[in-house]
Amino acid sequence: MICKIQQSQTQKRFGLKLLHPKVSLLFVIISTSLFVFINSIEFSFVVCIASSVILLLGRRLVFKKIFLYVLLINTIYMIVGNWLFSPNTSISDNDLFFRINDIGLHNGIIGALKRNAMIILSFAWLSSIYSLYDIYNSINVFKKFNKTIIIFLKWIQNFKHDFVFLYYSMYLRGFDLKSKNPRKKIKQLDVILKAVLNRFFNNIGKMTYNGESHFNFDEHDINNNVGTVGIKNLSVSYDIDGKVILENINLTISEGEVVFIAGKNGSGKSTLLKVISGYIPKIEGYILNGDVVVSNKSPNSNIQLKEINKYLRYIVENPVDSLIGLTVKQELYSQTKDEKRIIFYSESLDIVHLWERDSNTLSGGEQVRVVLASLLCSNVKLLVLESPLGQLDPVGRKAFISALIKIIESKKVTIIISDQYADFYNGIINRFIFLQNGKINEDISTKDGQIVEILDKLKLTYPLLKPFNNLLVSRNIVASMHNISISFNNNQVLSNINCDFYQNQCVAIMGDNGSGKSTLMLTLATVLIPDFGEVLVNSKKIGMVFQDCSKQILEDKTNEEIVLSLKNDYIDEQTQISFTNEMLEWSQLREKQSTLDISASKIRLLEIASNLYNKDIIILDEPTNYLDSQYIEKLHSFIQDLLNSGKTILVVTHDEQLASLCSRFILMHKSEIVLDTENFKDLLLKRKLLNH
Amino acid sequence: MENLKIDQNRDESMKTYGAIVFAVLITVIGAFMMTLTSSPQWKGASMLWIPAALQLIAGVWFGPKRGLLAGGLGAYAAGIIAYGGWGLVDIIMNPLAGGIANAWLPAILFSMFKINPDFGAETKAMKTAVIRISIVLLFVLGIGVLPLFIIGLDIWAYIIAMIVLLGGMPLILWKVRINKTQFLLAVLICFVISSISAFIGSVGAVVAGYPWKAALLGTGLGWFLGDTISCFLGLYMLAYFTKRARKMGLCSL
Repeated sequence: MICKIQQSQTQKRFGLKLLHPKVSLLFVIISTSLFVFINSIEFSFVVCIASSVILLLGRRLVFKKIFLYVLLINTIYMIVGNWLFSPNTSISDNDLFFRINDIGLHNGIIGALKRNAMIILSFAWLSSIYSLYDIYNSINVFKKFNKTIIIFLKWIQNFKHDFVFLYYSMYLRGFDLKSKNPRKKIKQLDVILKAVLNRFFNNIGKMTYNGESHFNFDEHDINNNVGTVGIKNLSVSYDIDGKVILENINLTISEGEVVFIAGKNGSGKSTLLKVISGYIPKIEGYILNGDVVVSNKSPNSNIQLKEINKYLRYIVENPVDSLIGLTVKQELYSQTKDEKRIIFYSESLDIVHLWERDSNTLSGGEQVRVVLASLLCSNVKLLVLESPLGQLDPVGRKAFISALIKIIESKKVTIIISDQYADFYNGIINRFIFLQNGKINEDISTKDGQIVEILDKLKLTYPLLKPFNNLLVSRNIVASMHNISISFNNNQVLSNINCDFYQNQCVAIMGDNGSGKSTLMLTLATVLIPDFGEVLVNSKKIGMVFQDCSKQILEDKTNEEIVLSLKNDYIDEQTQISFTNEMLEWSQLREKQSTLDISASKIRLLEIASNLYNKDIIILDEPTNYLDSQYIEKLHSFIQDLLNSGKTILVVTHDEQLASLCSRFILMHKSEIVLDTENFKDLLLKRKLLNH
Repeated sequence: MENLKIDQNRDESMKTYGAIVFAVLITVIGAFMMTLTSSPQWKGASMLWIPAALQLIAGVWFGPKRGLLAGGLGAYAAGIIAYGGWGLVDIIMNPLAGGIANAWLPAILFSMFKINPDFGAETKAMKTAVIRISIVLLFVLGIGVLPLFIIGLDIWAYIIAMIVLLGGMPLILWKVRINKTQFLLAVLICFVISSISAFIGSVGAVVAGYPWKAALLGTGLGWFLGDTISCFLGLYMLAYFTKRARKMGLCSL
């Protein structure tokens, strides 16, 4: 995508690309509209040729197969259809069917030629589009609709991304898309349709919230209470008659406070953040009781989301999901009209050179800088952060913390954070709230250095775990990668990778964001096909759980999700039932629980349970993300059990504590394996050197 | 009353983005159908226009304006993708018929007659209903295409299809717990909107050069039948999905 944008800027312009995007679209609309009135073979032939010339001048054709199919079907329908079905002289209700005649043939040829001309011109326009930003430039005619257009295009961008992961997930779960068995095809189609539709609709809420958090430019009504939170007797549920997640919460947060919300998985941290940010009840969930007032506004009223979000920003688990701009520049301009402010913060966070880049193609560190620049440019007075460090490498985490300090120093901002990595915020936080079973259990004012003591006291520190015991490591190679190289759009992602993996081995794969770790694992799992080199592995024996494993979900019920791989492998029903029950018990999920309504930590456990049956190699990408100490211990003993049964475990992680428990360590840097060692200290040292 | 209170707390812009998403869905399905079921004389889908179901839902759920946006833009974009249909005739047949008749009008009529779009249906019962209606639809569709193969059947095929459609109603609703009065009123609305949509389609045919008689009997009748069947499908989808849409804040009727 990066390259595509660069190409669009640097390549010579041809065909319709020579015109301004709006003029080009207008030309296509007017021309094809006029084609309708053509009534002679000669003239329709001329416009068909002219359209083809315009297409050829563009020197690019997208969706070639669809283009050819549409042309073919259109030609057959028009010529054969008209020839067969047209009336002899004039149209009457008695003569509509089965009259082969010359007039029909004549009409059919005209119809085929002029309709093909329309199709060719439409595809010529489509081929002149290199990115969604080009489409935006073509259709942003009325300023009033700019916001809607951007949000819509962003939704397409995200849906496309989801669709790619859906395909990966299907492949890994044993879907045979080329199956000739019609029964199997129908069953698979049913799962695919459900998964696509769920993604299609579930993004509406996120898209709405994100869109309404941007484009809030007015600053004139800032009053003294902006940035404050007042909650009284709050009770919250995700279903009107479902489980109560937060119960009788009373909380007051003053302007300028930096509050950390801690608690175990399922304690209600995310729900509380969603209430403060207005996500509940504006997008999902219900406030059953109590009052919430944020910056003098109550989300539990008819007030619009854009009013609530005027001075509030809610940054979700993956920071890049909080961006709305198609490019970095567009993101910054969606926060303020003050150009000086944009330039100042862009320079101070060193992102000026990223302005024209597609916001979805930024590396981890770049994403963080852009999100923070966007926050600095905005009117933000209340910042709600949910697990912002989860997806970042150590360098990215440090960058995030130092930029957060910059925000605190430069603005009087109230900050509310919930994160697995509480110790990173030492020295920033001045209040610590501990939630337990949906209630506030502790509310402590903190000083520098005190946070570690509090975490110890509340048993929220990383658990003490034994290194994985895999003494039985055999020298049986279960997977080999030889001279693997992959590039996407001329961008080298993996370069000359050579690596063997052994049975019963636990391997940690580490490296900075964008170093190629996930691509390496997807290649090993044969989801991606390398440009060069070969992967020797039994692809049916590899299971993988993605970093963002919510994108992996295919079914809408927990038990159906777990059993899906077994069904695809035609495993007998008794085994299906016993395996599902065992995994439901392990993951503490209920049978027939909706996969749409479970927390991030439970989704991770569900996907681990759903992707390991009958697999010899199990790849876990950031498995400890969003898990508390209790769940990490659970995961640790589970991995140990898998190793005991002879499996090979590959762990892709930024979590140094988890990585240190493995027996082999691979360090990736700039698409290459730079270290493969059995000594963890070597890896840390090498990494430090590389980062310097 | 409880539902009403909850709906008021959802953000209104959800419906706007929901309508945009529906426009995309209508575009994709519409373009597919227009490409594959394009009739010889006419650009666009013949026989069955499944997106009419989505257009009906878009109008009822998102309201008249947003429904018009989803139904109209979706159909227009589908025509453009399928056969480069940007022109006047295409504007009459796609955004005007699809937006005004198939989406805007049902929104107005459902609201005017205070019809609850889930018809008080229970989910389990609706599954049975959907299966039954699908069987009837296939049967009717089969009858609808018979004139292509049997000379002289012409208009009689459509009449038979209508009889099956109306006669099949008690069978479809057998032991299904829904508010039958409201459902039948909605069926009537389906007939009204499909006939108006078909009339607008016929006007498009006249603008393209066909005489009124041929436009009404050729294009109009097929259009009416195809849209009515699809709208029926839309009614069942409404009954089945409206509760969930309310929970998401996509429907306030």
